[in-house]
Amino acid sequence: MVRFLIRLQPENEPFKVPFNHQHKLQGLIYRRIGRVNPELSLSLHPPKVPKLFTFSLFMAEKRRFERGKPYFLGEGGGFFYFSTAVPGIAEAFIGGLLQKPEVELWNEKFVVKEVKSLAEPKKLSGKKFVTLSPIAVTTKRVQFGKPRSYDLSPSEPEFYELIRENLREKYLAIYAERPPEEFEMKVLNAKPKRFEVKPGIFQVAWHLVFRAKGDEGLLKAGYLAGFGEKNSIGFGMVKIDGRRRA
Amino acid sequence: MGGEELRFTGNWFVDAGILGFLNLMEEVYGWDLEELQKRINENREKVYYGYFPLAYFYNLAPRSQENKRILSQAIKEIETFDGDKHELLELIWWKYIAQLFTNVWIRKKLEMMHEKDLKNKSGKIKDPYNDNRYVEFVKKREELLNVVLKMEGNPIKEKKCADSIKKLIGKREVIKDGNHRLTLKDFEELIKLFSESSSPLNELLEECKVKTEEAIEIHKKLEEYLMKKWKELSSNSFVEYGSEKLKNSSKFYRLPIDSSFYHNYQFFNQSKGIIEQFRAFRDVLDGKIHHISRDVSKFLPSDNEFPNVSYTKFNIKPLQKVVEYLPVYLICVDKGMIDVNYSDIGKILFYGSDLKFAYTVNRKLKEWLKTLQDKNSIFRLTWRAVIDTIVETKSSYYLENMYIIQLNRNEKGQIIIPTQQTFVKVEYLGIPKLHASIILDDQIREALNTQMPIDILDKSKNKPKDKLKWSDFKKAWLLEVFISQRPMFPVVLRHSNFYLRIGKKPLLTSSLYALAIDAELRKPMGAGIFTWEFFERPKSAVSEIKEFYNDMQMALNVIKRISGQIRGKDILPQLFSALRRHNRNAFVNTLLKALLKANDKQAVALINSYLFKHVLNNDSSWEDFALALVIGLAGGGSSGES
Repeated sequence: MVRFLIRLQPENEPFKVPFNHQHKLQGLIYRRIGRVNPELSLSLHPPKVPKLFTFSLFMAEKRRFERGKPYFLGEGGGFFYFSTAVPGIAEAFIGGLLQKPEVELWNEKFVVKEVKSLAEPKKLSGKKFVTLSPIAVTTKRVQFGKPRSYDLSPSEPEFYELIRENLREKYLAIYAERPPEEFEMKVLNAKPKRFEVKPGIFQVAWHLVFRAKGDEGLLKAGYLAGFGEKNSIGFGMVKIDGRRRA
Repeated sequence: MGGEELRFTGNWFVDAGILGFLNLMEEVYGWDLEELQKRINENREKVYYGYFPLAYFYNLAPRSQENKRILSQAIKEIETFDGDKHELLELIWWKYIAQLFTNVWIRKKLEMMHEKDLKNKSGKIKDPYNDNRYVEFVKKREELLNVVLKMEGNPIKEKKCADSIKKLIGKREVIKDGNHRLTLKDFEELIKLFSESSSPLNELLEECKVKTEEAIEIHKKLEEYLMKKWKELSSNSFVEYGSEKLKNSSKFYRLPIDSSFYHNYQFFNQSKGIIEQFRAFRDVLDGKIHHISRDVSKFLPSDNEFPNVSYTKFNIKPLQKVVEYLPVYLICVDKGMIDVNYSDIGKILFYGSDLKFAYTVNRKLKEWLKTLQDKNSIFRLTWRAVIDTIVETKSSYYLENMYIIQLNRNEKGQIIIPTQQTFVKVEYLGIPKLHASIILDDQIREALNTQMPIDILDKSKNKPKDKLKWSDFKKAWLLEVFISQRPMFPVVLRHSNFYLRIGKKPLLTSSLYALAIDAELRKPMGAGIFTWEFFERPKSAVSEIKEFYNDMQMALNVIKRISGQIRGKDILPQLFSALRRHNRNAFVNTLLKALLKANDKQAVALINSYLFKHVLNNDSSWEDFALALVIGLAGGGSSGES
């Protein structure tokens, strides 16, 4: 049981939420983890290592858009989901939030109003999933004579192949056991999004509705730690479609 | 055992006998285990051939001042006796044991009011009555009584003799088909009236009076004759039990002893004469009995009913090499058990593999059972006695080897009338190895040996909360719940909820230990009884329980400290509700939301860590750890009442 919903009470309403906000939310998570367990926070920094946690996009109870503006306006409180396959990470993050519930994100001030642990589904295989943060899958492709990072789309078979391999890596990291092969996903709906994850660095990721089948352990790894890559910067969190929001 | 001292053998039936032997000697001579061991060590032949036979038959004889006198006289004789064991037995048997039964023997003979009762179907005098003079007396008395009761009175002035006697002794029918129907009791009533020469006797015809007095005279002579015969038997000069004279009248002198437990065994058998009874008893002491059957053990199948079962007769020869006086103990099994005079309970025995322990527990149990209120409390009383003894003796006894053996109940728990053909049942109530290892810890046992109030006994009284006393509460005994292998969480939950309702603080130490033990017992364990876990887990269980207890206590103290900051009392109903519904998310969420209000950040960090370790990431026993927090929020409480 390591999935939480964090509800935030804004100081002012409406509050702004920039479209590219993942790195800010990531900063908050690292800061709160570091507050309780600095060593753990440091160990989550090295690149190319599965961090085994993920989080959703920042959402608002009500939102409205202003034409041409890089943000939306939220009302009635904000919230996001956090999930991890490592209880220690959750403990540190939630502990950090409890210790300092006052939060500042993109110059907006919030106070943590509620931290809710969410029940884990008993079975995942065969279920329909919806992304809470888009799924990112990249590969290296030669462009202009040099291997460059290439963002894959669900129309490319490699997209699925890499998701499966990524899940197997996570499985190995979580259970320290030889990962199974059985995994299959069928995309039912897809919508691309382009995010500026760091100043000047962009990532195309996909909001998906998909059905996944296969080994429960592999699917659980995805459900807890995220599908695809860059989970720790806010990509790949999914929920089961139709489940009542906690 | 080697005969040097009394010690349990591990066979519960034999051990029940050893316990019975000890109980018997204690009851008759007041010797406790230590004294008996000492006496056996000093002179075991005197114990087994002198004291024991005397005690055994004294116990079967009626309690009277006369018998007490005989007993103390016999004890003096045994103390000073210096001779062979068989001589001692003969002396005790003929001189004292026989004397103990004088009145019973005479009465049994006097009870035969008709000559026909002395004869068998072919008209021959039965062996137990085969004495010419005795038969003559009975016959004469009967004839005289028949004459009296047939006398016709003057039709105008006087009643018939039978009618007057009928009225005098208050019996509906005194004569039928020319034969009197008086019992010894009726006749004794008549004798009493005659001795008082009271006025109602004036109603009797003179002739009737005379003949009745004659019958009474004969009866008295019969009594004197029997007394003389019995005295002769029990006097030293008469003891020539090998002589023809006694051989022929052995059955006439049969000791009138009976046992509902051994029923038909050896010396209890109605067809045996006094010599056979003596020899049978001597064989028991000499260990010449090598087989036991249903006569001794009700747990063996009947030889007649189950001829195809090979063990209807059980060979005890191999056991006798280890337990020298085995048959002696086997005839004491019933004395090892406690008769419960309540409802349909019958006989019970607390059995453990240590004599001293079992003896002490049974002794306490015997005393406490006198106040038994309902049959279900046997279990409770037994465990009280066990715990009491453990605490007293500091015994490192292995609790897992204990049983409560209960006779006389069938599969439905109903009483079985112990007839000869009834197969008696035994109930074993042992506790598992893991439970035993836990209960052996003084601290834990003490914490569990607590009555935990869970409700009000009589709600109709509507007593105000502040007037409620300890005796007004319905209580659960934690130790009983634990031993019955039921979870203690529901009891602690009920208790905390109840105490909060009536404005009291829950019992702290007992609640926390109960929850810690529950958590330990709920830990998933590998299947199979001979796994590593099966042997090793009991060893580590106590330290793990204490670790859980410490964690719970720490969390409890911390949350108690910040209870005011997070308005702990306000969220108690939600937390209780979540626990009752086994809804972990609801519990955690309520608490996390409350924790956001706390100023004491260090306390919050500790509670958060506890929640993650013991609640969120603990599927098997999260409720136990969660309830500990609730008790803390409720303000802790006192350490408990035993």
